[in-house]
Amino acid sequence: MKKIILCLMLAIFLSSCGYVTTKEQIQIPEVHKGTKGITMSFLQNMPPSELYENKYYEAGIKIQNAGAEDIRQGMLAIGVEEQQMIIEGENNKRFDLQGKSVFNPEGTQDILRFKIKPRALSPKIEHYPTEITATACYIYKTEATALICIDTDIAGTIKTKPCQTRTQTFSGGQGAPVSVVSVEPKMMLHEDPTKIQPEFYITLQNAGQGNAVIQEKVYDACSGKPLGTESWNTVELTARLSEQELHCRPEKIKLTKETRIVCTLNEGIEKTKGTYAAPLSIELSYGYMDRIVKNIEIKKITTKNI
Amino acid sequence: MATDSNISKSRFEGLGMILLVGFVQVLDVFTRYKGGGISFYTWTLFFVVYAIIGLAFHRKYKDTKIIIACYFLAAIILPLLYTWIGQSYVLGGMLMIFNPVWIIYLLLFHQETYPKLSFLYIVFWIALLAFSYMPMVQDYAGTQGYEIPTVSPAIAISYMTDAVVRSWYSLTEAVSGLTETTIRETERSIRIASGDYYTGEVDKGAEKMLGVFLSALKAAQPKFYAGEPVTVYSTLKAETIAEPLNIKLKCTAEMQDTIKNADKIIPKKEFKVETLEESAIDCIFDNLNSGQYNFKLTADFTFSTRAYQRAYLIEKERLREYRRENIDPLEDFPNKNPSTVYTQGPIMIGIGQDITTQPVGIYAPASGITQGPTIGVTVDNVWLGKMTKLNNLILMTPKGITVTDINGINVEPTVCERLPDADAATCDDSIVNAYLLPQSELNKINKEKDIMAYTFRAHTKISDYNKLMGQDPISIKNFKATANYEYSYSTQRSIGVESPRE
Repeated sequence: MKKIILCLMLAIFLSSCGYVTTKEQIQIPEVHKGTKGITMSFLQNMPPSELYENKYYEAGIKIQNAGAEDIRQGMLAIGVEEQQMIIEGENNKRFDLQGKSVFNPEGTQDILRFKIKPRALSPKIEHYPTEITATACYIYKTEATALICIDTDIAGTIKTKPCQTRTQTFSGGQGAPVSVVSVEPKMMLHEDPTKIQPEFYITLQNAGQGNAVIQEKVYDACSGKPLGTESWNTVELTARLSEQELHCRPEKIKLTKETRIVCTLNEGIEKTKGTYAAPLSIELSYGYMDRIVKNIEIKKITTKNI
Repeated sequence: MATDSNISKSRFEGLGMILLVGFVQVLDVFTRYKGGGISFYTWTLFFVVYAIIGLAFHRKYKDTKIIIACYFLAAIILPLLYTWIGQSYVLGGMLMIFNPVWIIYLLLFHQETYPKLSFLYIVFWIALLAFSYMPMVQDYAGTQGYEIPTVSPAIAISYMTDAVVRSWYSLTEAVSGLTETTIRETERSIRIASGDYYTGEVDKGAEKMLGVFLSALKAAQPKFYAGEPVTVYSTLKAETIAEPLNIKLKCTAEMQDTIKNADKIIPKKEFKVETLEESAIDCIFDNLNSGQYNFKLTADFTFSTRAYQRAYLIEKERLREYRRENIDPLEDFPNKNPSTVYTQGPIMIGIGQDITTQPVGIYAPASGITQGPTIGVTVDNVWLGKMTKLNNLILMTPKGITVTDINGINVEPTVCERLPDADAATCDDSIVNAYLLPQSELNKINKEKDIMAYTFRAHTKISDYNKLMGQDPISIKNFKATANYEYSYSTQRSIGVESPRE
């Protein structure tokens, strides 16, 4: 009895001294979360909002990969009103940026600099409003995975099942500007009566601030070159159920406000497999273009502002 | 019944008589009572007219003695007394009360014909006397050289007459100005409605008010007399940047068909302004005859106005694709619809047509189409002066866009160094194509003495797509227009010159 009382007192003492601690949760960064690819901003005062004619300035653009995919050979082009401003050297630069990871939850960033010089203003024009633009073009991917319930008992003869086939929605994106919004699985009859054919209705959305463009023409998007039809808002999609590739229609998808496509497992699944959960992985490949604009004003150098 | 009819008839005749004598006596006030040398013939005329009036009254009323007394008072004594005593004395002014002798006669001795007029007459004179005490009438008396304080109904009448005359001239001037403005605005509205007019906004951010400004013309003295120097003045303010401003001043006095130039313009007739000039301008006319003159100070100067219209160019097929996909290509641009901005001054330049709807689609060479955007330019006089001559009009397009014709006349680009110096200094042949308005168009415009709302259209082709679009998905470019012209700005005022002082 004395031992029990002693143990209780010791326990009270230790708890008051903080020896007994709660179990800490280790937060694992959600890399595949968010609707951003690249984020860009002009560095403060680079360039300043007021520039004087015939003076050199530097335009600095901070570029960060805020998505989950690594970027290789991305292009950043700056644009100015050529009749009023000169870009010294090339107007575009390439960049590589690693995406978010467990070890780098913010993604990597870089600063790209361009030298600019406003031209002399026409007589009597003392100030001239114009813009400087920065356009980033890069190849990106969206990866989404979901555990889907495959139910070969279409007729519903079995009462107790380990899972139920239902629509899965994904909120908050997958760490990329084009997102998979939902997946609706449907178990359909197969031409072979011993099988069923799963169909997946996948809804996509451009949740980023920029525009998706077909991968092959992504760098053209950053130039004045014509892209031709069917290039904008076009993404490619591949999907797998476990290790089996799904057949998706159409292969090149035009994004609208909410695009719905169908992927099917053409070879089907044996009914004998029963009801089980299987991983569905979706991969979207596309080029993406983001743009930022800064308003600037070119001023004439007068005795007043020297 | 018959009696009432006779009374009415008598009153009607009496009213006609009183109006007639009243009119004659007003004429008398404006001739013999005005002072100065009155001719013998004028005196004789009034002797005769008053004699006729006296005889007419005598036939009707038979008041021989009273009529003779009235005749001598009206025809000789009162005007002579007024001349001797002079206008500057109270008594002289008071004499005016008794001046309408014939009216007083009728009111005093034949009240039966004018039952209420005697009362009205008394009220009128009391009101006039009270009005004579008012400060503005007293001030007016002072400006007319009367002794102060002077209380005189004559001065009050003179003040009122002067005020009516001044108001009349102001009204006619205002109506004339309004008519001109209305005609101009109507024509402008017609052109806008027909689409043949492109607008712009004046550069609001400019810190300086560029141009030549004249304040309202003023008289140096309250009253001018023939044979004495007449001075009218105004303030000239002129401001310019980049280009000197040459101003020529002209001062005239117009009366009917006669135009007289000022004998002196002080400090000078011509100004060359490099930045800012503010100066009082006095126009002196040494010898003007009496009469109502329209004095006018005119500043003639050469001026230039510049305008620019920014445009976002995008490859046409890409634009179609954007539109099909419901993408706004200018989503990130804060000012999606920049308007034409022109520098301050007397004229407005508007640049429009295909380059004002943003973004502007440009055909790529692969399309096989080389047609470029059509550019419309309007030059309009927005001040109240006159644009007398358009010396030249320059249109600048970004390199890669070539103007093929202006109003159907084929044109070729000119090199920057052939432009006026100020424009040549900031023009670069490697980035712009510069065009001068064809001489035949200039000749057509300059046939008009007051050039207003001239519009031309320039058709273009895409001569170098890569140069035009560069490496940008959206190419920001501008189209510029410069007008060099001569302008005439005036200020005017109607002022009377009195008969010479004795």
